[in-house]
Amino acid sequence: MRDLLIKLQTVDRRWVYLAIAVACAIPFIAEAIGKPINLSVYPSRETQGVFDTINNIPRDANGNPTKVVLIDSTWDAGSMGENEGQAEAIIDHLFRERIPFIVTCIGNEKAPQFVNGVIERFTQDTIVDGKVVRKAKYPGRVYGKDWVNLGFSVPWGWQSIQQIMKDIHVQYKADYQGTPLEEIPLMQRVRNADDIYMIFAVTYSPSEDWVSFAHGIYGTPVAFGCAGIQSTTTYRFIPSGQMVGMLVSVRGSAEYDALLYPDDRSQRVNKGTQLIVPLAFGHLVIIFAIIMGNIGYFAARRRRS
Amino acid sequence: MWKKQLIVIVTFLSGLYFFLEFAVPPTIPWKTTSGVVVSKPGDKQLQINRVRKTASATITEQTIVKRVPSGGGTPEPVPSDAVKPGDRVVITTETGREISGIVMPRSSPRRIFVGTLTPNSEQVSIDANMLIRRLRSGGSAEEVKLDALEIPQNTSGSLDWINVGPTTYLSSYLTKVTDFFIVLGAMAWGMGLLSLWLVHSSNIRKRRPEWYTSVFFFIAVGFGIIAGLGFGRTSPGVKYTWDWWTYQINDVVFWQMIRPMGSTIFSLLTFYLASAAYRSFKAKSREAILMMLSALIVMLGQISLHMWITSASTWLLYIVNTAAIRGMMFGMMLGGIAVGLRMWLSLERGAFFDREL
Repeated sequence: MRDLLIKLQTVDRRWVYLAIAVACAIPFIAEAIGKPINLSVYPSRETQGVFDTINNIPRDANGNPTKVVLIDSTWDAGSMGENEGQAEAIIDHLFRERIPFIVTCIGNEKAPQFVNGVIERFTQDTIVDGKVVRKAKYPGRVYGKDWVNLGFSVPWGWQSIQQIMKDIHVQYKADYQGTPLEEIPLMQRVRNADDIYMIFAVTYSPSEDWVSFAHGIYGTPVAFGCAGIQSTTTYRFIPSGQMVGMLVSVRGSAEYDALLYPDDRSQRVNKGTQLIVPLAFGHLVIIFAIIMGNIGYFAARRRRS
Repeated sequence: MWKKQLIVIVTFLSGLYFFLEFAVPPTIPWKTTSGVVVSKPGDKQLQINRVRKTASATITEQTIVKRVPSGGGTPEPVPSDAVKPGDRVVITTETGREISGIVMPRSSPRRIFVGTLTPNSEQVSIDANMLIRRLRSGGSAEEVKLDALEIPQNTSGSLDWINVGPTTYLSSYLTKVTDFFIVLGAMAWGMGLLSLWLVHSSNIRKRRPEWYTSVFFFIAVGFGIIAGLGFGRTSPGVKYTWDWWTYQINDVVFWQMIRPMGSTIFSLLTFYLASAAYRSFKAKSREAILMMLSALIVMLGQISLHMWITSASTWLLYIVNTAAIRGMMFGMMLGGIAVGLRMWLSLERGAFFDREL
């Protein structure tokens, strides 16, 4: 028996790989056969902070937001598992509340197309082989009035951030399609930090320069959407009030989705909601593997002593 | 050696410029006039009136802020954060008290200071070295030309509040300096491509081992450039035209190649992570036990198993983790200052400083 326990700490790593693959696949299989596995979601303080800040955008007498939200989306294929759901959740909220937003992609030339893919899912029907497979959620939203994608710019870092906050028309002369900013209705009323209500920087590891150069100088609220592994370094900005909140990994987007649709689970189609269950299964396998490894370790230590 | 000195000088000067641009006001403070523009007596002259503070209002949800249009008229309700210095407003506080006057600088969406025009006005000549900065609703200032200023027919409505004075030249060059960085950034991309071009073309020319992978590099760059040209098109258009091809290649390169390949490579980390956690998280010491337990709690907190696990995870992340990270960052920043000082004092030794470039 003890030999068996000792062997638990030397299981071939390929079995661990297999266990992870199977565990992550189970929720997808369950969904495919019509028996989806659901998990309760408890919105955390950092997710609630982002949600509340967006909800509190100042509006004029007609109920229209007086400012815009700036989304700096620099994620691409590498971190799309974590960041796509975050961008999706925020854009869903902004479209729903009719809050205009501007997208920038500082330093990543692939990012504009990825974030455009997310926006187009909300505004255009998804058509495959001539058939509509998914109806657009917000078909009435208009490019140039409800949102603008300014696309890629260099340099990556604080120089761009500083210039955007001082005068966005200097940093960007045209949007991603080459349309001059003066010809875009939304950009005619957006000039500098005064016109930007909030910044949401979403990527694997967002630049902390947003905190220094946007919040530090102009007091603009800043929120991040980041990978789980990177979040530990940015939690420190939340208690200090330098950031209003953060969407952490898949959990953040699933929580945001739950805040958006608290009573209607059928509306929760965000990538985060789809991935939170496979993530949970994967984590459980890792925890189980750690416990097994420790049982083996203690059994071996006991034999030695 | 001159290359090294050039790099050091450019780095130092750009750092010094950005520091001075941040610290030095855009206009010479003792020669700057601040106030509302009431008239334009000549082509290159402005008459500026000072405003004396008379009252302030704390803004609550019940407060109504109305702005008088430029030139006078009926006040219209506006959000408190939309008013800018120089606006003439009528504020009805939550107690029903009515305050009217011109909004002053230092006002915020939570507290608005108002004042009245004083009789003493100042006539300012706008020379070539004068900088006009108009205050905006958030309190920041934008640089404007003389022609862009709104000169009202009378002073009964909203006005423009400006700070005008001889420029210190630093802010005027910010755009040019930032453009320089944009050009540098763009050059870095070009140089990267050029460097790769040289390496891979040499591989092919000399038939080095696995030279055929270099051929794929050139094919990938070619397809990447064409795919980039296809980005932004909203429809494929007429078949077999240039636009159609770029659209189709963009679709294949981005959505059928980069997206799945990038995601797959990154997801491989999951397997390594699981295997590493299994092999390394062993309760070998008290510190290891602490780390393992906290990792388990944070991991469980990520998947919303139960409210109390989420709370424990939140406590670990907000209190313990924040304290540790702040300590680490503080140490790193001190180290950064120490290294910076060593470089400034020419005490630094290492690969860059000891080697001839």
